[in-house]
Amino acid sequence: MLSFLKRELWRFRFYKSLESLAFAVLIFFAVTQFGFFSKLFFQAFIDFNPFFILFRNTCVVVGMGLSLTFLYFKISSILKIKISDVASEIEKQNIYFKEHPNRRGELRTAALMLENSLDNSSEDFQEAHLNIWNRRLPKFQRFLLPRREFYFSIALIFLTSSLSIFLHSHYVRTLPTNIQPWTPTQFEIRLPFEGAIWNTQPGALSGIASSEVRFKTPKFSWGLRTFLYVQELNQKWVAYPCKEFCELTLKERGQYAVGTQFFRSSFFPLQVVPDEAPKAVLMVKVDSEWLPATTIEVLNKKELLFQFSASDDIRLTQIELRHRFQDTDEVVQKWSLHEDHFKQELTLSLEGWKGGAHEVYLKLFDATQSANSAPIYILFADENTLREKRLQDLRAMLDEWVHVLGDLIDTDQDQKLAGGLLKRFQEMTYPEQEENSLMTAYIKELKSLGHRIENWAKFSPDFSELKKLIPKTEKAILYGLSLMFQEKTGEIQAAADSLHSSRDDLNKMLEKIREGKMDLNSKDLDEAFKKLASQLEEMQKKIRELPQGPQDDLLNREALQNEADESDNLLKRIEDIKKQAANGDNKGALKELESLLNQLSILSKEMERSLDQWKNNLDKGALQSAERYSKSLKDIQKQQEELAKKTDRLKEKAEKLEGDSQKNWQPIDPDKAKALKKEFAQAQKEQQKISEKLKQTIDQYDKDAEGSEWQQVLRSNEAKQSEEQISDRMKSSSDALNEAKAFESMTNQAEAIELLKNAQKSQQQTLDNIKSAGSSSSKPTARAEKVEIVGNEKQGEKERRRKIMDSLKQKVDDRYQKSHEHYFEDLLQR
Amino acid sequence: MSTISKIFCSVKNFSILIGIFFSIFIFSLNASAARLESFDNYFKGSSLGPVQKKESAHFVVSWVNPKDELIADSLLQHLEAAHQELNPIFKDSSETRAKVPVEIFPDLKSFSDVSKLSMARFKATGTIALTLDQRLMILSPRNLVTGYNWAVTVVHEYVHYLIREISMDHIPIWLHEGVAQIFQGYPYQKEMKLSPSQWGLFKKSKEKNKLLDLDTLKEPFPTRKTPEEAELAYIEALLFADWLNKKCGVLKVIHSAGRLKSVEKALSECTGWSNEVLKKKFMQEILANVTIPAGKDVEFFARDFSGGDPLEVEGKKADKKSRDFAQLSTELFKQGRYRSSATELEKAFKESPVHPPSWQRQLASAYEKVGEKKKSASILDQVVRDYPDDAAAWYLIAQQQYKNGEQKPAWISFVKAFFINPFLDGLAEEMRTLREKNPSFNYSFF
Repeated sequence: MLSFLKRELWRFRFYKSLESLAFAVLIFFAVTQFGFFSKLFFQAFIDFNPFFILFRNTCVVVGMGLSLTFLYFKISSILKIKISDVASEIEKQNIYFKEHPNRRGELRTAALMLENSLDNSSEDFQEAHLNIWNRRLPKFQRFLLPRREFYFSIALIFLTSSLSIFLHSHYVRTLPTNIQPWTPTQFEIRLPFEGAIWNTQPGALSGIASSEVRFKTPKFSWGLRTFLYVQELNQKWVAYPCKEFCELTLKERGQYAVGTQFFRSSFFPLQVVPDEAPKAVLMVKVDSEWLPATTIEVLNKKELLFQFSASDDIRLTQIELRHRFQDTDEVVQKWSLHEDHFKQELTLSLEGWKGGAHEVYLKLFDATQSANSAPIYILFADENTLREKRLQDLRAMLDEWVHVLGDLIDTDQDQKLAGGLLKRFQEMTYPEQEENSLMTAYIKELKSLGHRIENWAKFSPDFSELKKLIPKTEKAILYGLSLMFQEKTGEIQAAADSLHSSRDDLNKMLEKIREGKMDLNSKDLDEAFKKLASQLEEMQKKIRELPQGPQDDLLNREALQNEADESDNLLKRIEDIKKQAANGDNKGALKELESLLNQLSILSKEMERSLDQWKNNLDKGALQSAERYSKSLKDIQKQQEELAKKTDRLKEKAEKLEGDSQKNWQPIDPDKAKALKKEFAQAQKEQQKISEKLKQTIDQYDKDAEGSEWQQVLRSNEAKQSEEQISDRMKSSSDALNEAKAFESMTNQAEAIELLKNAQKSQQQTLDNIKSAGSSSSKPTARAEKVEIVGNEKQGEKERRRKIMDSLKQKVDDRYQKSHEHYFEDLLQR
Repeated sequence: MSTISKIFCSVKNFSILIGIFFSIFIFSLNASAARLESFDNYFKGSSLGPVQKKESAHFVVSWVNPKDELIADSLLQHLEAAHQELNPIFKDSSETRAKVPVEIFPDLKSFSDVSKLSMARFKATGTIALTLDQRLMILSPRNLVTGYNWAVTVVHEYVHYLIREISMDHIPIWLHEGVAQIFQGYPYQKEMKLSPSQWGLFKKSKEKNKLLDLDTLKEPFPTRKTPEEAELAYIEALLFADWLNKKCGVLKVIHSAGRLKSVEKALSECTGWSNEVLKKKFMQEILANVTIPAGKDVEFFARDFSGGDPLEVEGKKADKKSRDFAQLSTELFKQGRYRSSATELEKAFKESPVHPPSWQRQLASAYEKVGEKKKSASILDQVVRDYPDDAAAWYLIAQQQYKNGEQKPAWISFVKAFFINPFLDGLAEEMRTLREKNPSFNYSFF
């Protein structure tokens, strides 16, 4: 029983302590609230802040002192509570004692016995009494519950603390209703950035959000303090006590008044402009014109000229010129600023840019926020992109021509014109090509063949003609396929070149590692490996994509994949080296790296050899024969020129004989006439020899070019027509010589010489094209630079742009500069 | 067309044959070597999964790649059928011995690891099957793009196994290889058969007096000076074994060699000639009296290729015009102009007699697309006559037969494709569909 009573004693003390604490808190709040409200009251009269602070703090200290004193006394009394007091409390609360009211007091007696506070005269009785209550213990052994006062005090604590907090947080000084005249004249404003200065402005308070405003405190009455009453949009009135100045940080627009605790001025509008994000217009120069927010296609250009104009309502702090491509977004140039307007012209280098869609834009920062300008989209075409485009164009065109071939073959078999043939030609489009390229020559030939087939189909469907048209079409398609092959080999050459450069980089790194200047686990080496791996993959892919003849697609695909995977040996080795380096086996990794570089070197050499072989296969000696042909034409031209001189001399001789005869009124001397005729016959023989030589040269050239991939361009229809014309002129010359018509012969000879010169020139041009095609990948700069606007610009848009540009050029007064700029920004964003 | 009919097929088989033949050489080298690691042990804990097994009355086949299960049943069925035919010939007391282990290796690396032969040697010789420690080991046909005749290969290996069951030693390499070649076609092909390329090589060597004598045949075949000479050794081994078979029965020679512990004595017993006489007569009579079949295909291979691969040498000579037409045909085929595509391929065939079966298959497909089914079928029949191991052609034939409602012939054609390239794209699925409709169909050719 003793232990039960002791446990309940502590519980009883705990309840009492909480009650006391509640009252202590109540005392504290009462005193501090008094201080708070007193301060508010006195603030309305005097501006002496230290006094208010002291007063408020004193109230807090007094409140705490009173509470603690109260607590001290209460806890002292709680500690004096005995188990007999607890027993009395149990007798009051426990239902057992309510049911047995005659036993009330017995528990307390027992507790007193246990406290030994009774005399020892009746020990037996005490023992018996305790025994009885020990047995009765289970019947009333329950927890002592808190008294009603306990709940009351806890509720009181909750209420007082809630009320105090509510009052502190929601108390607003009431807006006085009495009006006294006051008009704002001017105020000072300070923009929200470091180092900003106060600027005086007239009228009611206004400015950009986050700025600070202030004005000299007006004195209304002696002994009454001035307040700045402010009501922001949808908020309650707040009174800000003024000192020397009435101050406010602008947040939201609303209204304000100035006054005392008892009267105020009329309401004045509070104008707050939200802080605007900085703005900029980025423009690119295309054909001497500055274009904003546009998309341009750039072919093979090294740099672009940009200009931008940026502004902010507060102040620009930083501008970044950024370049975004695929997943990368990098800062190209950065300006740190302290101005609200900034204009700059700059040249952006495009060196090293990859083909694809790039974005160039500005990121602008002011004191509080940042914004991006509208980007300039640049569709940059590098050599690979151009090649890819050429290939796509070529492929699309060839597919159309494959259908033409199909139609021709069907026509031949059915002896009936294939339905879609004419329509196909009407709808056929040819890609635009650069001047002086093999593709241009090829397309020219295709167009010519196309016209021929179209005319044949339209006007003279003589089916025997198909015997010529089909082989010509076949040849044209095969030549197109070989052009594709060349483009592909060009791609491989480019890939091999980049692989070569990666190998050199790795070699340099290896040297550094050997010298201890670089770590095997370095990020640079890892990057180099990644680059190498991607280049190897790219090259393997390109080799696989080379055009081939009929392919066997009925295969075991898994085995095919395994074969392909086996060729990834180099990639596996790279992974192994990385693993070795990661595991700390630097010696092994270094050895493997050296071996890898050797292997790469072998691969590069093999690649070069293969490419040379491909080129040789394409050529098949045709280029040499083309050069021989050009040389022969030159010789023929010389011979023809010699003959022309000789013919000229003959002409003079004939004229002289004729002249002498007319002068002397005598017939021409027959001997001299015979000798002249002989000379003409000799000249005719020479002309025939030259004609024969030309024929032999042409035949030999035809034979040499046969089977070569270049046959189509070297022996084009144009070239053949030109040769026919030369032959015709030579024949005419020969006929004229036969009839001793020197002048007529000379005319034909001159024409033949001119045509020979043209033929040589054209041949040389073709040869140059072929040679440049062979090394197109290594000479990307040989292509013309080009910048074009890609967007489909309508007339209205063009005019709008023009208007903006004109507006920009205008010089306006400083006062209107800002609105002027707003105007063009609005126009641009419209 | 038939002139070149077997050229490609024989050349295609060349590397595989080399591989098969190479096996016996290897096994003889390894005969005394330490035992190889077991299949189960090597693949214990493999990432491919657990080792799986299936068995029949006389064979137990193991594989580890789950995909290889595809050939397990058919392999057992084919081996049992071959066993029924070979057992009486080899007089094998198979009832008392353990089942023959057949192991399907999932890749060349594991094959190399277990057989303890370097990868380089595998690649150089084209080995795809071995008999080591009386275990028949084959590389899964999954590893070869056009597959290989794995059923014939495994019977070839089984013959080596049976010979070693009769006599572990005393059988020279030429006898092993000769006998294995005679019986490798069992149970369906029971005649000794040389390919046109082999006949061509033999003819050429004979005319130039470059045939190998019997002493040379006793030396390891794959280490001959040139691949051509190595192949000649295999040819002569087959011809000599066939001659012995006709003379006194080649199995009798093997049994005698085992009994007398000398092949020379066994040969004397069979031929009645001394060793020296046999050596002379081998060149002067046995090889000299071999009748070489006449035919343009044999003549083709009898030409001098300066040691190069005949197909490669000839392929380089192939007319450019022919390749051009084939390329145009492919372009037309891709654009759906099947009729014109066929016309262009016909032109290609006229330009050159040498062309791969894929061209003919494309021609057949083009004809089929334009509805000329008979023409298409006839071309495919020609392809399988010229190239019996062209799985893709068998597959196309099967597809056509199936479309025509000829389910039984279609199944047989599918099986023929399956026994060459079981992992051909789409083959297994179509076979499964057909079998679901006809559960009685099995992996028998007839």
